[in-house]
Amino acid sequence: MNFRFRRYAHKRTRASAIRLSEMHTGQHGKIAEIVGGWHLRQSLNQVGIHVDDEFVVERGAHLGGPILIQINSAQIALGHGMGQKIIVCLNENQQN
Amino acid sequence: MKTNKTDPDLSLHQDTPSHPEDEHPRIILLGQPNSGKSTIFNQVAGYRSITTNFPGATVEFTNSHIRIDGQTCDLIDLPGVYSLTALDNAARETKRYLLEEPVSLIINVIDASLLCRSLELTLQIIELGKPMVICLNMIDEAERKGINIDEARLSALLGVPVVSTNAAQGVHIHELFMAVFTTLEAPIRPRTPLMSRHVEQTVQTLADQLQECPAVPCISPRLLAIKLLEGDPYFTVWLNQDKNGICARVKELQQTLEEAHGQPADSVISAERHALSMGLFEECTSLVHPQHSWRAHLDRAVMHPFWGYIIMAAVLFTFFNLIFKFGAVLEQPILAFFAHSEQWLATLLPAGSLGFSLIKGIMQGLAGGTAIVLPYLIPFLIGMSLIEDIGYLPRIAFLMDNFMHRLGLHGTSVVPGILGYGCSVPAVMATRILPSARDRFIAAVAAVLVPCSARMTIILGLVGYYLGGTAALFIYILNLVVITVVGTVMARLMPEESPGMVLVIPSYKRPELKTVLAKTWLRSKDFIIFAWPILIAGSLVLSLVDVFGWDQIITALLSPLLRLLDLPAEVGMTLIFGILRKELSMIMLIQALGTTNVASVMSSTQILVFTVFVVFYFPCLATFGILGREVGWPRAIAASLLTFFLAVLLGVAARLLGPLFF
Repeated sequence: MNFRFRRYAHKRTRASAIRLSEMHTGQHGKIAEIVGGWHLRQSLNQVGIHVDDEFVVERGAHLGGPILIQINSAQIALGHGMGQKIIVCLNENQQN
Repeated sequence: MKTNKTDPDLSLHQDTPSHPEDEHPRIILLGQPNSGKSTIFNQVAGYRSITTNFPGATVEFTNSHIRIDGQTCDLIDLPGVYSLTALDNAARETKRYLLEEPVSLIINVIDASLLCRSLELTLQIIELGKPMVICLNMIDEAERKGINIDEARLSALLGVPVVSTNAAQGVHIHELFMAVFTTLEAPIRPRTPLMSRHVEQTVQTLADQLQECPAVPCISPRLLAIKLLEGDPYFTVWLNQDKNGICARVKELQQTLEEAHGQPADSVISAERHALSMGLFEECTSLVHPQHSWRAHLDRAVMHPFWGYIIMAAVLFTFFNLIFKFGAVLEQPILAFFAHSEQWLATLLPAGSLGFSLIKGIMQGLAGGTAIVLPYLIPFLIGMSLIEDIGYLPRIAFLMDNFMHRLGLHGTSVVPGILGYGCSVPAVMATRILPSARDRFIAAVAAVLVPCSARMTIILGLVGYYLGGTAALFIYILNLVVITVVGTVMARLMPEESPGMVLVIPSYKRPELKTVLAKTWLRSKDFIIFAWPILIAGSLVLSLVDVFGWDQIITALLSPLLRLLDLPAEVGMTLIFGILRKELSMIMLIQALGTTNVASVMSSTQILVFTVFVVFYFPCLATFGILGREVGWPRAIAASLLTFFLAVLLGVAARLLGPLFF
């Protein structure tokens, strides 16, 4: 994995961590880390995306397109670039 | 749950009276985007604030004086905000209003189906220390999702009245305002739920220090402390002016939070607020199995990576095709009626006399409005309202995200573009939902280039009617190609990373007939009341200009342009009128040519060239004004010049290529 770790990353990310943009439709996961600055963190937190929140991918990214997730009973569309900055842990039974 | 029952900060607000004694209490509707604030506002104030089913529909505040059961107040509908930390211009407008204007009471409108997330804003509003009432709107949607909310428990936990409503159907709106007036008579201060011990101590330490600071802004020190620790630029600007070492103290405390919690300070506070909201949510709700609905299945198709685009193309094609078919059916008999009336008039008055010219001028003004604008405008506005209210716009934004990235923007920027098909003025204003100034400028230019409903009447009424539907479709496609090229070039000239799309997709909603009609009326009123009289007067002026021969001067001035485009000399004046309002070009064309049958005096290529030029050239005055306000005058002038050059270029291209097809 070549994403840029922040200094807190070691506390959050685990071996099964991947980027949100790499997830497929129907997969469940948990937000592990938001790799970005103040603006990115705020814009995600404001719509209810926080570290440790669980979610399900309703439509995975196709050809660099956006991702649609269901989180805290809301449907949220995230641009592909955003998805690359969100590190997630897959649910145990989906790791393989 | 721990709560701070005696708020020590409230004394601060007593210096600023909530409302002057001779004025009515000022009540504001505050909540997250798409929670139904404007719907509540319209229920009590009449339909005055445009409502749509996508987040960020309201970008400026609307004010109304209302009377309910003999009690009066001023009700203000503010743009929705996710948090008191504003990230875009619409949210900044709300924040400025909240912090600088006197407010008597806040109605916190919550989408009950998104209660947990919405409570995060509620917790911040509580920090403002104003009397408040919580409105759990869209309670039916929450029940559908299997969320049963115990209003009494929520009320007890936060110390504020809670009323459940379904604003779209007007359910419990009266009860909401009764609770508002009761709270106004006996204000209850909301309770502040406390964060975990370490965070709370840090906040309190800073708040105490701020209280001793003489230059503290007029808000609660606790809220200021939280926002400073979060690094909200609105407040940190104030830090730069401070001379009491607060800046260093804030940095030190942020560091303490980061070290203790392993996350940046803003994330720590955000996580605390999230945890508090989750706690409140769990304490006051019971979850049952959600109802299975067709909505999930529909979304799977509508947002499908392949079928989604097919559905979108089909929806938009059917939409414009229906408007075109409907308008054409009406246009023909109405134009024929006015042509007959003119012949009848010629038998009564000698042609060329002043009386004849005046009456003919008025009749042609009426003909333009009734035969060309209304048959296309009204169905368009009804269709647009339906698409907006169902909630299809954000889905289009999702599908278009990838394409918009090629323009250097992201999916949300498509919303101003789609609104642009209605009117460029609200479209340019809608760019406020975009966080970056560069994105706002590119999106505003794209929105101005999108043919608004006035230009649509020209495309359908002139090209569609005389040259056929395919030619009209060609102009729309040409327009999209031009927007893509202009957007791409602008993005290259202003290389900056777009912040990316974060868009909340709302649930589908059944459109209410009353709302659709009210919205159509509100939007068409602008044409009927303001533009039509100008149009008739303009037509009259044009008749006089014709009678006295003044048109020669204007035509002479515009002749190089008209020669370049190979348009008849009479057309010159109509282009000048088009600057006032785009519909006028079309209507004045009928007047200038002296016939309702345009095809008898203009060739097919000339009709095409005229339409292409009018579609692209200078935005109307109202759009230019709003563009100047939103992106600044130098950029507005640059954008207008760009559109003019584009129009000339494309007009010449149409002139050269037109004969190959017609």
